[in-house]
Amino acid sequence: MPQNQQKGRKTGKDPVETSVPAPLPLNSSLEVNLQEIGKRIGSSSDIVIRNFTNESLSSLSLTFIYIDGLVNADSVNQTVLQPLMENVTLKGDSITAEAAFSMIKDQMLPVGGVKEGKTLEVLLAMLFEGYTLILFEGLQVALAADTSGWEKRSINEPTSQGVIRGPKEGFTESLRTGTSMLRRRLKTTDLRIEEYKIGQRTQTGIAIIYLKGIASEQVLTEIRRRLDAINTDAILESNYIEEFIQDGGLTPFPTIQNTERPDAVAGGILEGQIGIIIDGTPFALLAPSTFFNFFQSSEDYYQRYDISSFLRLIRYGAFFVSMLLPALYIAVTTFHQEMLPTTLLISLAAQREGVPLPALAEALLMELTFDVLREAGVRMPRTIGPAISIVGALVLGQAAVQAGLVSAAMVIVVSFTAISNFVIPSLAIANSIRLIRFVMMFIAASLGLFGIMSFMMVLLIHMAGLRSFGVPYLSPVAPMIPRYLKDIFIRVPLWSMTMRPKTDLGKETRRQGPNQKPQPVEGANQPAPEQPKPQGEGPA
Amino acid sequence: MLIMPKKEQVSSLQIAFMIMLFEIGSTPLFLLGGKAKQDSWLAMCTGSAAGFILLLLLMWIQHRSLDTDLIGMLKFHFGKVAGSFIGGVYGLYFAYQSMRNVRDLGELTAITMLPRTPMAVTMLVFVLLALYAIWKGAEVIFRLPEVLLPVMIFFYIVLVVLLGIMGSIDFGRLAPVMEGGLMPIVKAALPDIVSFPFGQMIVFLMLWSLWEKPGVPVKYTLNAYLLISLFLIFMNALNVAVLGPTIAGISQLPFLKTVRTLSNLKFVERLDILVTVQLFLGLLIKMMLFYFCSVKAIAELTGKPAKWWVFPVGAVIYGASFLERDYTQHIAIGLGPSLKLDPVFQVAIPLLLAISILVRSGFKRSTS
Repeated sequence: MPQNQQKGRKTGKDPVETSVPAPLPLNSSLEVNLQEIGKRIGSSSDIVIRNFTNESLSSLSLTFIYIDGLVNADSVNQTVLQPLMENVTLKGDSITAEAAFSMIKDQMLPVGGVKEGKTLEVLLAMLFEGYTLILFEGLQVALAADTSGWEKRSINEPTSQGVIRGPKEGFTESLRTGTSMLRRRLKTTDLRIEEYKIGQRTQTGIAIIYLKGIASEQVLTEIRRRLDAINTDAILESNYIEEFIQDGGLTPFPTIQNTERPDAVAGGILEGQIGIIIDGTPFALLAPSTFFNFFQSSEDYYQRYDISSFLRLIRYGAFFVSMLLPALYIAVTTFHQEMLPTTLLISLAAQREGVPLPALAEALLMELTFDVLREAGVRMPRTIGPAISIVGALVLGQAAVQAGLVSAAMVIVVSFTAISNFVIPSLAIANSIRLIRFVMMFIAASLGLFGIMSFMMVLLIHMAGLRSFGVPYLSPVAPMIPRYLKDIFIRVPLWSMTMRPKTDLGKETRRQGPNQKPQPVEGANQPAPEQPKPQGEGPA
Repeated sequence: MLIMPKKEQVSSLQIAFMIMLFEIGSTPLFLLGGKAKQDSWLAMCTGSAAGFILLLLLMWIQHRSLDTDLIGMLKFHFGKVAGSFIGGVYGLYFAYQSMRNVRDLGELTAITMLPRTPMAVTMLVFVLLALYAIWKGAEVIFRLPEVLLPVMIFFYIVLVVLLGIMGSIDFGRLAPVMEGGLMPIVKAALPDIVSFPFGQMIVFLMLWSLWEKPGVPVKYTLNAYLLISLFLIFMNALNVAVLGPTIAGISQLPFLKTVRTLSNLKFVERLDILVTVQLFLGLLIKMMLFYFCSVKAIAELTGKPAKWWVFPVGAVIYGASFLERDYTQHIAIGLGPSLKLDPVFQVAIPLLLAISILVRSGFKRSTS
């Protein structure tokens, strides 16, 4: 994978380790260079060093170095070894090293990326990218030919964010595959891809992707600044980046989205968000993200707007259920029994009579059990997966009730809470509720409904003060921008979303023409009557 | 943080939402103008009209002193010493109003939700909530109504619709209109209803200067005021229409009683929870705004940053909320001395300010 457009943006950084040697220029002696390289990278078994001496010309001595597994063997053979070994010109004439160098560089390497390197560091960095190095005896410069090609996972359906209708391909671990998927979706000259190398030891490739003119310049500058400021030894997954660049230290809420779906990233980029793809993980990031972004699924736009709106309302409902239901159960059974209808109260009381635990302990027991089962389900080898569901169903279900450990109502509460949690499309925010739920349960047990309301207010105040790269977390609801509410709680038909439903920092631009509501043409030969725009919005 | 405006700013819509939520506060829970019996809604109309005139006065004052808040105006018009003194008194007055709301909530929580939890705990939680928001600053405070007002309006609509479906509403209970002539209505309205809630718009003299443009968002302010007046008058009439003037007049929380008439709905026994949420939110916002104004006033007088005063003022409000012995005394003070004092702050001093503005502009004109 070539990194043709990498940009050195690592100015002013202290290296993590002080023992990093200063850049070493190549020596004119091949022997010395090889010794130095050997000292740097040791004698790992995957490094192939091949000397190539031209039989007719003792002065021309070359050495190839590449890393087995990072290069495509065919490509090394066909584009580097074969041309050099078979070339008659090289064999016959007596030729100086300089002439051979320029001849090889200009005429003999049928490969796209050929670079020169004058220091060991530059060459070694390219070596680890899958380049084949060609070192010359007697020259202080070396060639690197792009022969990269390693085993990659093929494009598969995303496992964590499935849809019924919509594209079924997900990102893979390869950065280049990711950027190509977005290029294919956004065939515009405005699409910009900037690449970074972050991590002293991992040198992980990171690409930020945006549409010029639509993404906010302020946000872009800020993201670049924060990426530049990262000084760490390793980036192995997008969460490393997320934690380094997201706003606000102490918050349970995510302020950056992550997704496996290229269509979701393309959609976000089209609305002015900035995509960040990290090499080595199929999860890309989208920033800035508001609270409401986490409730939007890309499938919302792939099915009719009425059902999408309904599903979205269901998700918000599920959010509250998932956060509050166990706490409400505790509060009502402990403090506010009078709120229940008499018949329900009697039936609840009868169930709870045999239960030895107070409501809080009962709820905690069941919630923790569920979290244990869930975690076990993730770790469990696939083959014994079905066993867990049987055990889970028995433990969480009938047996616990029959044993008199928990009441049947509690089982309903816990299972419904658990199911609701999975309705929320983003795992990031679903996970933050899991923790809030426990806090909520303790508060409900000590202060009842008053405590629940108070804690909700704390969360609201907290979110009202939160920002994601300068965008208020609750926008466009607080601060309210009424014309952007078309895609928040409900989704209006696409033809009526004439403006990008974007937060106040992204540029407001028209994204589709007015008067797109499909309607029959009145009169066979007359053009459709000119109407004001459907929602009465002015142009940007 | 990345993009932060230099000065804390709020939009016109936020001010409108805040006016509405602030005016709703806990108002619909009580029967204001109960002295006018079934004409209490007319008393509300009168009070709202009088409050409207007062509001115009306040807006005119703000319009003539752009970018300054009440404290700045007082200092400018009454001189540094006297102005600062009156400003300080205003700071205390706002803190006092805030403390009344804290105590209200403490008492009401004890009645409706947590009879066995000590009031000290609930009131502490309440003060801390407001403190947290004020610590975060004006921008955050003004974002809250944008979420809370729709929630509150939704709950009110649910309750009114349910009352309508159940047939509890009988507007015949409002008859006969003006049984005793105009005088009882005016007597009930003035000055009580003007003082609470309409005259409390005085706090916006402290807040309009936060608007992103200089001056007053006239259209938004007036629309918000008119809408919310209509809503409050309607809710007042609704209480009487459900309970009848007598019961509505004597109950501590008539709206709670009104909602309890819904108990013969088969699926939900008690909708108290909705009332409780409304009460909680309304009181919280009202208390938070008074608290905020108090902090803002004192901070401006002392020249220290607002955050410096958040904790001391909060502590004073919390401490002061224990001064009254019980709910009876709380109500007695609220309806007695407190109501007599309100017009001084809500009407008299603004009038003096207005006169001073007139005199100064006249003086300027005559000298030039």
